[in-house]
Amino acid sequence: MKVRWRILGGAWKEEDWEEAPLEKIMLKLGLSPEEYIPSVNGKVVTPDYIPKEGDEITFVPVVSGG
Amino acid sequence: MAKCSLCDRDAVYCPRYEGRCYCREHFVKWFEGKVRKTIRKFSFFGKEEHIVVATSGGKDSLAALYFLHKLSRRVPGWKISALLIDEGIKGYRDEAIKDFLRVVERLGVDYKIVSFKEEIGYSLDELVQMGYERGLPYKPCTYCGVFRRYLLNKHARELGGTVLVTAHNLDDVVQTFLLDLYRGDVKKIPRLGPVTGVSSHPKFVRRVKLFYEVPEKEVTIYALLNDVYPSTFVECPYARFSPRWQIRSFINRMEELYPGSKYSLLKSLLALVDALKEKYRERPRTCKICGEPSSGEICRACQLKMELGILDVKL
Repeated sequence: MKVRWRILGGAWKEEDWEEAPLEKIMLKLGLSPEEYIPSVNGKVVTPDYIPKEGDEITFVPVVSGG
Repeated sequence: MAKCSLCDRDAVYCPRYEGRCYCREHFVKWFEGKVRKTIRKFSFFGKEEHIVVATSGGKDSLAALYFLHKLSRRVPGWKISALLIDEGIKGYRDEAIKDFLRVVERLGVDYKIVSFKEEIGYSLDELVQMGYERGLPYKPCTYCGVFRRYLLNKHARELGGTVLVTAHNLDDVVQTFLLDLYRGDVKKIPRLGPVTGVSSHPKFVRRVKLFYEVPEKEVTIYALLNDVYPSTFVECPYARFSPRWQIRSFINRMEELYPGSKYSLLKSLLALVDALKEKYRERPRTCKICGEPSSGEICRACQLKMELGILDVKL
């Protein structure tokens, strides 16, 4: 399943992802759910969301810039 | 996908320490209720206040400004102003100022921008370079923190502020708590209470930490849902030089493993603040150089200026 994803402030990447909840994918990407909030097509979602073909996923950093 | 515990809409957040889920609408209500509870619990504001919000242009302070502006519509005796300190970090603060202006103009809030360059004579980038050349042992966050606090107090007072709001959240507070413990800086712990400067210097504007009981993650979601999250994420180039970076990762890991850990730390902190506040009570003094409030004969800002060689005084 093809999705576009990025960490806010970084470049978009297009990748094939397995059908799995975001929390599982975040674990593989090394993104802690305490430190990133997933947003799908511009809407905040909970980490149990299962991405669909064509989704645009942004991980928003929780930490402050400074 | 998880559903809201109060209706059947899709959830945006499920705090693991609580075991419930909230949709967009119920999250905002729940969040605002939590902050109002903190305000009442620690008596942050009276009916008549000029509230100056220390705003960096980051998500926490913009969320604080948005929240207080919204709340102020129900309190006729409140005036809200925003104060931004531009420390001058190339490529970082410039972006944050754009976000700051977008939000203050949207809300119609009075604001003031004060720069290190105008007030101290040098930008933070220049101060860091000067300190490095002089072999001073300080990290960038030391110069930034000392001069920022100095200017916030001075300009909040000059604006006529009766209270200065900082957007410190639960994460900030418990991180500083652990940093103080690691450094053996126990006497600094009483400063980590929700309110500082209550009975101190006449030139000291009382300071409150608005998101004292709210995790940073929840402030971030609130900022996103209310369109005050900065348009892009730019990390401060000096952030990773601070030991706070490691402490933050450690606390977040503990929270993942043991939900509610941050609140447990806060509970311990409040007990210690209470136990230590008399022992380490700071006598308010006046800096004999600049006349601003100080904990010693000379304030930290003037001390740093002297060490940097940018303050020529005969004592």
